Amino acid sequence: MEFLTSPEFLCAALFVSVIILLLFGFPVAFSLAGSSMLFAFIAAGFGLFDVSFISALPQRIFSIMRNEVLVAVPLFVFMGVTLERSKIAEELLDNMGKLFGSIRGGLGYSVCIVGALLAASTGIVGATVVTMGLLSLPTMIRRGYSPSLACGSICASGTLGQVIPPSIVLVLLGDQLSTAFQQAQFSLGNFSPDALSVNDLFAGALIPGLVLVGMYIIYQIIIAIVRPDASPAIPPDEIRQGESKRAFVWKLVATLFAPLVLIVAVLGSILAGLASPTESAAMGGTGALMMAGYRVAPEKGRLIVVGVVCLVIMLAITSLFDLRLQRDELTTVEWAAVFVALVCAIGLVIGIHTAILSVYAKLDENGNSILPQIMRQTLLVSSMVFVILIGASMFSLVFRGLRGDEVVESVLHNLPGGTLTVLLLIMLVMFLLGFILDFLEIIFIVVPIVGPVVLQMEVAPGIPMNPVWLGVMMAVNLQTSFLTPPFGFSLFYLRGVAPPSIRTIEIYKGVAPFVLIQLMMLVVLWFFPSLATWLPHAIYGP
Amino acid sequence: MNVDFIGLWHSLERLPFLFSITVYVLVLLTVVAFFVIPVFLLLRYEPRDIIKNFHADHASTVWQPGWRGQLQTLASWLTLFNTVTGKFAAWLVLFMTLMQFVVVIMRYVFAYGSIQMQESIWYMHGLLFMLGAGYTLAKEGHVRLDVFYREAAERTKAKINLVGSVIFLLPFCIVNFDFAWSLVMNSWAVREGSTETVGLPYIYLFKTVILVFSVLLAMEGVSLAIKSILELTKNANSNIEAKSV
Repeated sequence: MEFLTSPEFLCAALFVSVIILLLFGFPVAFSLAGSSMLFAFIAAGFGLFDVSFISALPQRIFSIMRNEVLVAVPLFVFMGVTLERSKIAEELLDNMGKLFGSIRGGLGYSVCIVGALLAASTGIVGATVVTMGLLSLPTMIRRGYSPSLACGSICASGTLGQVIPPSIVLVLLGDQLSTAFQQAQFSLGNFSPDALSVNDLFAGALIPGLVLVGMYIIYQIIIAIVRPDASPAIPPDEIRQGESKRAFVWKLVATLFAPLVLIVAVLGSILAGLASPTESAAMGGTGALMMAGYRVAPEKGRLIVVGVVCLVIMLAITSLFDLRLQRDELTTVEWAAVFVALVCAIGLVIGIHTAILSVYAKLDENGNSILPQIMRQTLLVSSMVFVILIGASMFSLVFRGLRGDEVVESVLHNLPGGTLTVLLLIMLVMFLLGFILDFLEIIFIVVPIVGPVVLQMEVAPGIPMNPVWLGVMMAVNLQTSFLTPPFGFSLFYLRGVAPPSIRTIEIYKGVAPFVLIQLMMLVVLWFFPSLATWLPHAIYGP
Repeated sequence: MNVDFIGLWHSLERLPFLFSITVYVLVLLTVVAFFVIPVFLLLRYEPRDIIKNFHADHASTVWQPGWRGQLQTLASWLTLFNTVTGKFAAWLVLFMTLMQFVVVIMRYVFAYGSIQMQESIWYMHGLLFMLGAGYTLAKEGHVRLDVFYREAAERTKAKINLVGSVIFLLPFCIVNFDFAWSLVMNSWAVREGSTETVGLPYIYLFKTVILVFSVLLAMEGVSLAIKSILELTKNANSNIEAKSV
């Protein structure tokens, strides 16, 4: 009886019963919230739980509602869905395939590069995998690529959205980790800790993400050399279909230009420390809207181009003159500059207005306008994410009420082997949970529980745990869990759109090498932490 | 509990023009979404027409006589309410993107920052997912661990949904409403405003959204439970359904 009322048993029972109840398939958010709440009430009935712990839930919900960092999530989702619905992603993939198609294994490289580009603009795994599965997979199969190689590269490239910033995963992970980091610093006695920001995590994840892309491509190059028949080249004339080389290249540049500018602007402004993720997400969302407006109605696109030019002029004027309005005296030149900037602002407004109207006027194949669909899709994704966060808050309140944080702390501290074992254990748990859970639940459940404990530990004597490094490791690990058969989500998405002639086992076989690459990346990160920590250090200082 | 409408109006007048417009639009949208459209639909259409229109994608949903029909009407009304709310809340996505864009441009180009505009973005963000939660449930947008659920028979799915909404979703909504009630009432009592002196003074209204969230979710939960019951009792009445088609 003593054992049954111990915090260790209660926490384990909570965890196991919640996971089992989740498996029945009722929406995760409500299963999490409802089952942990029921558990709490039953425990309270036996006098083992103080119900006032969960009365803090509305306060938690409110802090989610007014969390400035989390505002970036709907904005990034909006940007991604806009690019997807206006077929800009498709065009990008198509042209990139033509660019690389004439070399051996080229379609595979183009999938990786477009995966990385889409990752840098949207970060939505499902959308990327589905788009590439619908567009690239049939082409690759028709050109004689080995089905397993084609499927593997598509699944893996689709998940790059998790690691390459700006990604929603990193926003959510950064939000959770910064809370955990603050708690860890408090318990170490540091009451004015350096805040961990999402910017740091973005900067930290950029190089590992690019290294991953490189490793994917190197793997495919090796395959192209070792097994030439697995990824044959396409004759160049067939790609161009009679166009002159110059016209073809020009068309390529034209379609690549706008998305690249958008990505560079969004990523650059975050990494340069000019804008918070939320701000650059809004820039990206508006930019995507303008691109979509141009894409769906090029004949009305002149006004949109004028709007973009106005924006550029405004930024140029800003860097040349002092446009601060709240001053007493402005010189004549400054007044002129302010006037020009205001005129440009009007031009920009007209451009955005035109873009919104064009997107609104664009109908899909069912005759519905695509703008409300984009917004509804964004609402569905955001609501799904945040309601899971609410459910997970309930879980972590109950877990804390059962003294779970102390249990986890004592267990982790008493493991033999110190920090290495703890990290391995956490990575293993996240990896295994990835078989059944979505990345959202793993982030929202695991990070608040283990984060504060791990972040207090030292990697080596005298060297404290770097939260950015830990975050990047977790992100790479979570990406792995998308790819692990039998329940990797990326595999499900691809299975849904792949032609029936491709056997499921071929998808699994194709993904296995990429999972190995992922694990290699974790090992590399373990031995070379500076891959993740150098860039944030260089940009934002220690 | 009396609302200080005049004070509310006066505090509105002090806001920058752009923000006032947004507030008016939001209030208008809310009023339209919650009151005008349902009342209009109620006066204009018979419940069976609404069911047909809003459940065109559910081929199995046919008007049925007796208690099944009444339950179905109720479920359809609840889902309709959430659908309308969600579709209106979705516009906040566009508004908040543009508002944040305007804030960024004003700040970087004219070095002009408005705390009220910044806070209005938080309000829109909060409203977006809180008001959209019920709609997301209606649209099957809340992710499920569908390892087993995907392959399950319709009856099994209905059982899971019925049990889940009765023992997980509805208690959660009730408990959340209960706990939030005192929080919201305290906030109303002092007309809680922003922590910034020049911020928006509507934190008490914003907190009320937590109650609305519980109600919307509970409505959709009841609707889901009813649909599951109808699915589970379908065989007993299959002959009636066949006739009504």
